[in-house]
Amino acid sequence: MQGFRSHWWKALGAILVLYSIYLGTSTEVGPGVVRVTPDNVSANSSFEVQIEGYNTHFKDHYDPKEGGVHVWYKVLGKLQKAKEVKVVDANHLLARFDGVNLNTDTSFVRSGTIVIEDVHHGMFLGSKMLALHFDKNAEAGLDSLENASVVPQKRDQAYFSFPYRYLLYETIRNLNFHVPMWFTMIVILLISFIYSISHLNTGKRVYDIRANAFAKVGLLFGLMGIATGMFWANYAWGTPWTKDPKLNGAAVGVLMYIAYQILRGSIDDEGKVARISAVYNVLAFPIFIVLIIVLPRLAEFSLHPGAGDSVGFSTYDLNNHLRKVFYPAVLGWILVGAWVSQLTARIDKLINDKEWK
Amino acid sequence: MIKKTGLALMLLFLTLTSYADVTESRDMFFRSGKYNVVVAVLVIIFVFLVVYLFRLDRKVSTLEDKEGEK
Repeated sequence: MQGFRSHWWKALGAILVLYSIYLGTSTEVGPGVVRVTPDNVSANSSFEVQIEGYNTHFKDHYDPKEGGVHVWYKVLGKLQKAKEVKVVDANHLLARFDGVNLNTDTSFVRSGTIVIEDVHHGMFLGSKMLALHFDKNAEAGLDSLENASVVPQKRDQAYFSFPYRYLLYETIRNLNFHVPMWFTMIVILLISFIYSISHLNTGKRVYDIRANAFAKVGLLFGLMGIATGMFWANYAWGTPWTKDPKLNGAAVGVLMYIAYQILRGSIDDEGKVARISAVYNVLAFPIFIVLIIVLPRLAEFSLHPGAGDSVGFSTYDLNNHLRKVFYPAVLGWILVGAWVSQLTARIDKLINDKEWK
Repeated sequence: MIKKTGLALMLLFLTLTSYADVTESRDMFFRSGKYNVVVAVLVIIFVFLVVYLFRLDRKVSTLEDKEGEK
């Protein structure tokens, strides 16, 4: 039982990672709106559009108490409800809208968002999917749209799924695998930083060995983050490398820790290696944090979510279902990373003891 | 030992055949939905961890060699 008392966190890490891999790969993505045809209509007269859903489960028949499927278009913050909605199959809807007639002077075009709601999917959106032409109308005249509509109830989804994101499709799952690599790298390098400070304070060799082991594993997770990120970016953004502040910050951060390993290898004197690399690590970690967290956050433009606002992502990109997998994944990978680091440190210490005797 | 290995291989094979049962439309979804990118990302993580494990393994081997010299 004593083994369990000191090793439980390793098992916890493994279980959390397995949990995140299982749910991260098996959970369904969606619902979402893939396209609306035609995507260009005149809103003045009555029109019909076909809506194609991604991983939707529209049913032919809904119980009267379930209320059926409802569709709206939303333009300039105003909603217009579809007069009639027909379910073609699980992934297709036909929605007929009434025309809007307002007597004003100018005509304009706005892109409308499709809002769909039923008891099974809850409410979901197809953002800016439909170009609406209003002839001889003014924006002020849209007030009557609101009167003509019934507002969605904002129901929750009845089943567990990841959010549908345009262009990402199934790869939204990678959030559970790619992002924890960076969180783990930051935490592992923070531990390495703390050990380096301990070494400078006490001069004990064991702290230097641990700092080095954690820096090595931190570097491993950084390389995994870059490799997985490049592969994902190749599909999501069309190129493995872009001028994204987060990418360049991460690359320089990883290079700094490669330099740390080279520095250690280039000095022969054992005592000097420990002191110089500890000083280097203490200086490198704050710069690394600035590169990977502070600068991307200050950047105006980033393909990554979260530029200009929160640390890693805005609330918009995570739904509650994704969080239930993502946060355990982060914790699990941190624990596994700490486990691998600790193992490395123990082996390094044994080797070091043998050499010094 | 051989029995156990055989059983493990058979179970592994069973999982493969159950994948083959996936209907065509679902298969289409996975292809258009870029599901293979997710698999690739998991494989990348696994490969990096295994390479690291090999390096650790080598270190333990040198340790064992030194133990043997004594």
